[in-house]
Amino acid sequence: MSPLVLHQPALDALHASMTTLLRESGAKCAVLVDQDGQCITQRGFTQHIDTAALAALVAGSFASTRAMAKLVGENEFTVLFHQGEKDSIHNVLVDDDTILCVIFDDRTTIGMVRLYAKSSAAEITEILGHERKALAMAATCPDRATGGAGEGSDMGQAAADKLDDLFGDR
Amino acid sequence: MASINSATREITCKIVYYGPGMSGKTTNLQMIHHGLPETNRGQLVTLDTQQERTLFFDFLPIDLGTIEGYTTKFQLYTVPGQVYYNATRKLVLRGVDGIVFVADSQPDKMEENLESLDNLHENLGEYGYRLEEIPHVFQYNKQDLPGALSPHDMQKALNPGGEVPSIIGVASEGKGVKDTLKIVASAVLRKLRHQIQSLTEGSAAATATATASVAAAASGRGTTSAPPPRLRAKPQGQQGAAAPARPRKLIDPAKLRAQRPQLRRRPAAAPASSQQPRWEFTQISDVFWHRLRIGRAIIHIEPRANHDGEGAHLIDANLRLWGFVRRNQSGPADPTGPIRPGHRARLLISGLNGSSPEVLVEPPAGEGLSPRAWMRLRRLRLVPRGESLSAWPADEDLVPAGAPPEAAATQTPKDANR
Repeated sequence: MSPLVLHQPALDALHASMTTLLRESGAKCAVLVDQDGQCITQRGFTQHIDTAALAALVAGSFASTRAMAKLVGENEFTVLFHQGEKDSIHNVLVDDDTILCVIFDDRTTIGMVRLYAKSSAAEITEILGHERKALAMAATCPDRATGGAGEGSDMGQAAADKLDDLFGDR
Repeated sequence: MASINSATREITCKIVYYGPGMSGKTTNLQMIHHGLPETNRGQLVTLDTQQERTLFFDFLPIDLGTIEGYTTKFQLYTVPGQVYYNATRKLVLRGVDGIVFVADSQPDKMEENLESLDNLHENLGEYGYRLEEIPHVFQYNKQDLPGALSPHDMQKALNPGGEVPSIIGVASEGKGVKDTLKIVASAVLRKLRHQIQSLTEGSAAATATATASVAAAASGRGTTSAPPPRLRAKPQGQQGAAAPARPRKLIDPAKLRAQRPQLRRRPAAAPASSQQPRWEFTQISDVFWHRLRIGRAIIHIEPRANHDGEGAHLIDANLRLWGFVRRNQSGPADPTGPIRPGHRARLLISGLNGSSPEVLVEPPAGEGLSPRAWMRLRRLRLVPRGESLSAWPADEDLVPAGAPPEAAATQTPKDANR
């Protein structure tokens, strides 16, 4: 279980793709979510949305949808659409680990969103695939593997201290 | 799987609160939500039933602020504890970085605790994870209730080696909640430090090229990296580690069973054996005792579920083995599902679950959700201690050990079980 590590160039590339998607489709915002329920990045008008909770729920709904798919003999349902009175959500599976969640309202149509989300998903697959490949290569390199095992500062203790502070008993 | 964003310098980790139903997982999250300042916590999302039992998960994002230059966030999840929600419980475990096992200290709940712990091992195994490799902590909750088992007894039953940190808790009063979170959060970050430090070293180069690589040698994967630090429960006054000096009585499994026979959930009776052709399979398998591999065995099984409690003890004097193969009380979808050549079996022996001997048969990887089933154990031949295992093949698939007389001429093994 290695963590997903994103660097600035990859993040810029993701943002560019998501911005294009929003501009072309007229959607409000796009959130990239991993299947573990974490928000990777977001673009557009997300100020009024709790994207952390959204990410967890999108991942949860995809996970249960996948289980449903298997029950009916499908491997996966790659698209999930939730229609609301005004705002709607279009979720598309980018790769095995990532979901692109696009939120849009009645100023555009599901067709437009689907069209551009599909091409954006393909770009994102490529960007993340590149990043994961680099990560896997780095993980197998013994020189680098020993690099982090040293003394360093104790993040664990720092986290415990922070929690003490936050719970207000110190 | 933690996510590390080097561009925004943000780390996000996932911690799952696991345990049997009503043990206090959601209460833990509520107390954390209640105790943290608003600026450091997100919304507590609860997906529950009308009876306020967790249906899918509870979710609480918390933000510890900046640690070593990284904005550090934790996402806390609970799972539904009820046995019949295993499908959703398994989904929540995906990508987990740390686990809190919330155990109920009431004596009549011990069996459910053990069952849930086994279920945790099982569900993690399906993602290819091992609990031993994931930072985790036990919380012995509901210690305030009259008659609650002592932490020592809890420790003996759930954490016999005592290697895993454990905390005494009364979650409804907030006792032990913060300490539990502190220990698991610290352990998760310590495990991540390899990646983070490597990331720091690599970040300059990373920003220069679009395909920068980052060392992400997970603990235990690197050939020369040190093993992850083993956590020890720190004595912390009244809420400290769970091993009081005074000797305590041992948990008596028989007594436990006698106390709550009504909680022995039994799956529906299997179809009569006469309806199915007899077909034995054989396999060389590892034998586990309390999750420790104690040896190898040739097992013979027949494709017929045996849930009606007909018990044959697995006692082998030479090996001083005792116990029973554990019944899977979380319940496979179809206990009578077909097994075929190529499937694998796993033999679990546990001393606290008085069930009839059964073997879990798992389909090979890649078959999706095809049935896993608990099968009746026909025969067991253990490999005596001291005998060289080198002559024995490694784990092998189930192979037919003998064709059913009435079916051999016309049926393939696959068909025989349908």
